[in-house]
Amino acid sequence: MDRTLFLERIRRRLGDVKPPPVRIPHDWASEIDDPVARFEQELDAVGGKVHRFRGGPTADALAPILQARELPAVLIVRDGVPEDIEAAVTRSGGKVRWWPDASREEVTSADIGVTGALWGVAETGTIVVSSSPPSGRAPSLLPPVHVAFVASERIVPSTAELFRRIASMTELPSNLVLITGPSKSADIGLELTLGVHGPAELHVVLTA
Amino acid sequence: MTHERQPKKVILFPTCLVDLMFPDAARAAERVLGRAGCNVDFRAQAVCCGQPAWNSGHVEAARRVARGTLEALRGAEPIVTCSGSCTTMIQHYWPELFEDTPLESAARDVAARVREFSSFVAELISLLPELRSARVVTYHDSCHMLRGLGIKDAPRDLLGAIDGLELREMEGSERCCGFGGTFSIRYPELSCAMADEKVDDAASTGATTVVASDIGCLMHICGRADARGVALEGRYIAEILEGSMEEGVP
Amino acid sequence: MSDTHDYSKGFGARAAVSLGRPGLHDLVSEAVDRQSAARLQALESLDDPEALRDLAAEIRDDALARLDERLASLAANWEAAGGTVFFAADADEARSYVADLATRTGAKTAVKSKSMVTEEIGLNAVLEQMGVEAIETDLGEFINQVAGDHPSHIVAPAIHHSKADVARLFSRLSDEPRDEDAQALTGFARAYLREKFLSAELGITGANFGISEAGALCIVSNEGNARMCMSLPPVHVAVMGMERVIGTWDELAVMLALLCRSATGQKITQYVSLLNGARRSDEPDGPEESHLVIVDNGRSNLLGTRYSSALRCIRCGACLNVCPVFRQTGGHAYDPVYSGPIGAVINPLMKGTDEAGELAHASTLCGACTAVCPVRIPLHDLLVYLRQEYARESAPATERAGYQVWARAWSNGRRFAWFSRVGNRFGRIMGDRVGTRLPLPLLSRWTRPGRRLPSFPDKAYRDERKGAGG
Ligand code: SF4
Repeated sequence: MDRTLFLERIRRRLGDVKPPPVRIPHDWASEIDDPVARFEQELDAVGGKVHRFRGGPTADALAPILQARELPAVLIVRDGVPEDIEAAVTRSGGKVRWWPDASREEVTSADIGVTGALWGVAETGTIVVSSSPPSGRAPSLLPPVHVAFVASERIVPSTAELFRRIASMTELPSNLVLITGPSKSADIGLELTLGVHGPAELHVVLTA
Repeated sequence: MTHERQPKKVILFPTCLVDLMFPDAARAAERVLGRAGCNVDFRAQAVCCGQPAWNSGHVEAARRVARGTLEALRGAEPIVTCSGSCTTMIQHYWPELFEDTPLESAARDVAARVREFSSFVAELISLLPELRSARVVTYHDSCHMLRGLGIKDAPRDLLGAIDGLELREMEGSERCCGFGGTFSIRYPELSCAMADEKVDDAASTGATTVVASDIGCLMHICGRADARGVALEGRYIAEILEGSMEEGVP
Repeated sequence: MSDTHDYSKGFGARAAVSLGRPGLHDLVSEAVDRQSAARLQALESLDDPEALRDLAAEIRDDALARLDERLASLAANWEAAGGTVFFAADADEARSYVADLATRTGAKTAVKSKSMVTEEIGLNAVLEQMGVEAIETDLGEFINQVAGDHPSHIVAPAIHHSKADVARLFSRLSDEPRDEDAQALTGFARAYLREKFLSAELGITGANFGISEAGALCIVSNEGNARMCMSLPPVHVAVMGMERVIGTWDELAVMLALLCRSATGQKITQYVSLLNGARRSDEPDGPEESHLVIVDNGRSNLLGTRYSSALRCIRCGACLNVCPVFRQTGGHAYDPVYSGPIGAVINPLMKGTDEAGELAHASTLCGACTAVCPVRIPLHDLLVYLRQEYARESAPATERAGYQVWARAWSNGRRFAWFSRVGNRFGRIMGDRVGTRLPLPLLSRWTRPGRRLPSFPDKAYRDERKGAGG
């Protein structure tokens, strides 16, 4: 239908008296004392893993994740992750594939995807990944394991605060995704299952 | 207290189902109110709140029935009803039912004076004589009373005031029993399937008496239990109180 | 009795089909009890959930009162970000738009994430007719598709299938026996659908919210299938009911907090995707085209009427989960798409009283739905209003006449007393047989399914009181 007609049809049905515009109170979310601790606790509760990383070679942070797999193919976004990550992966016997240069086949068959994140949210244990370079959409979605590096100072207390940050972004990407734990479902016999379509494991490496 | 208490004047509005089919319940309410220091008046022209028709969408019929009741309930004293559901009808829906009619303000006035029995008596609990019973009961929260009037504690407070009585809460006491007035005859099988769950929940407490503040629910729950051969008798809350006042052990 | 839900028949007939399905009640009640408990627990994590519900209702009312402006700016901002917008007046326009898109892009496979509005407009059937394979990728919807079923719940569409059912369905689909192991069955679906995601030319999703100031859509999912549908195929189309727009990101934070908690008892779903138009030139991946279809299809019937609050609905399913009727029947007894209390409200409004008016009676008016609705839709009051329309327009003449007779007897104390004397005398003589022997259909409907009448008293209360007052 023609847009003007469509909207006109609506306008005719609406009264002229409009309610006053809504005011959203700034502080409707609960207060959080220690955002980093809370983030860890919340993500843990939904089945994600937090690794605190206080400097040193990245290999140390990744070791437990890499060790659990045999010669993993690791899809890594260029930029936004520690520079020595390549060495960490090769030392464990894994193969590095760089995003977005990797071929489609390399992307779709990767075992682990490594990305950065724009923010973390303490209240919910959420991380936010952008479709803008360096990240994109596939690395946090297609591989069965997702590892995200997030700087502790990027953890905001609440989703309310997160959306204030998003509102003040000068340029939106085509896609921001809020990720909270591994992909899951309870559609079969009400049983919780992981890794339905997205990653079955989510590791967040908190950097200082 | 040093001075004689003035009896409090109240109107008892039993509501049509109680009046017609369950006079014992109305009589019990009358006696309990009397023992709580009330002077109980009855208005014969007050029959029904009009809810069956209102809930079925027949507004004119509802208004016609409610009008006679409204006229009869005029006055200044509290109106105590024997039904949470009818109280909700009067309190919440009469102002709407009589909106833009000459009776609108009278309807608002009655709506402000109407009280559900158990919550009214719960405030007078200290005036009641000693209550004693050896019954084991479970309590069903009727929907309109619970969600329309927000009354959950008052009937439990009353039961709790009876010495020796044991209240065993059932699973899902807040879930509708499936009566729903005309729903029960529009979809009889469905209504009975809903009653079955309630009967099972009530019976599995081990209590053989289910108490409620709406006779409609009890008629439905126990009518179903009876047909299934489940021992479950229904008692209106006032009947439990009355029985506990008199014989001590009913 | 037939054992399929026949939508040309009344609710009662379909409810009977549901009641006759062994195991259905257990599956449904376990699912809804679990979701209700999760909801209650999740709301506790909010400082003041009641105040937030008030706020959410306000946000939705504000958006609805300014719906034309909100939609205009949502569309303009989506387009400014490189997306395309189509306004569909009805189901047919919406279907045709997506069908044309499929033709133009030469799509052979379309992957879909769960979207009630695409069910509403019957999109799959049209795509299939054109030879486009339309695949449901939400695990629950996928199960339904394999089974040839409609969703039985607006949030958890396959609650009517047991794990054993799923194992059987997936065995049939793959021609291989499958164990009743939920994780293994999930693994099968993952592998099966992953191929589809990677080969589909068209991705179709719904949208939970449109954010007008940003020209953005918000789409929630737990499985990640919605992300696949909007990211992998070269063309993405989001189909959104026109009422789902709100104003700002701040408002979204509030709505999201309540939606996730009310729907699944989560503080937030695993994935919340925020979309803004089309993929930017510097972005490494994503679809080449991003379409937004905004659907009316009867929704504007509600605007400016006493039913407009029903458009606040955010499809959280909480009202289904607490509904004592839904618990017995599951969703199929109501409608192929929208079930439970909200379905009983919006189906008659969107389709008309003649087609769906009876659904307004599919409730005991217990009010459990109203008590949980995060946007405070007075669902059971709306059902009463709908019954008024039904009584005027569609009720059988006998029903109207019956209420008139009743009103005459009940509107006067003396007539009521006379009736009570006659009625009780009959009742005492006949006992339960009044229901079976007398031509009184109302009473026989009471006793028919196995329900006894109470014993009839000697005297009505008013006759006892005679002389004592009044
Ligand atoms: S009516 Fe309310 S409770 Fe029901 S689905 Fe809509 S928002 Fe949720």
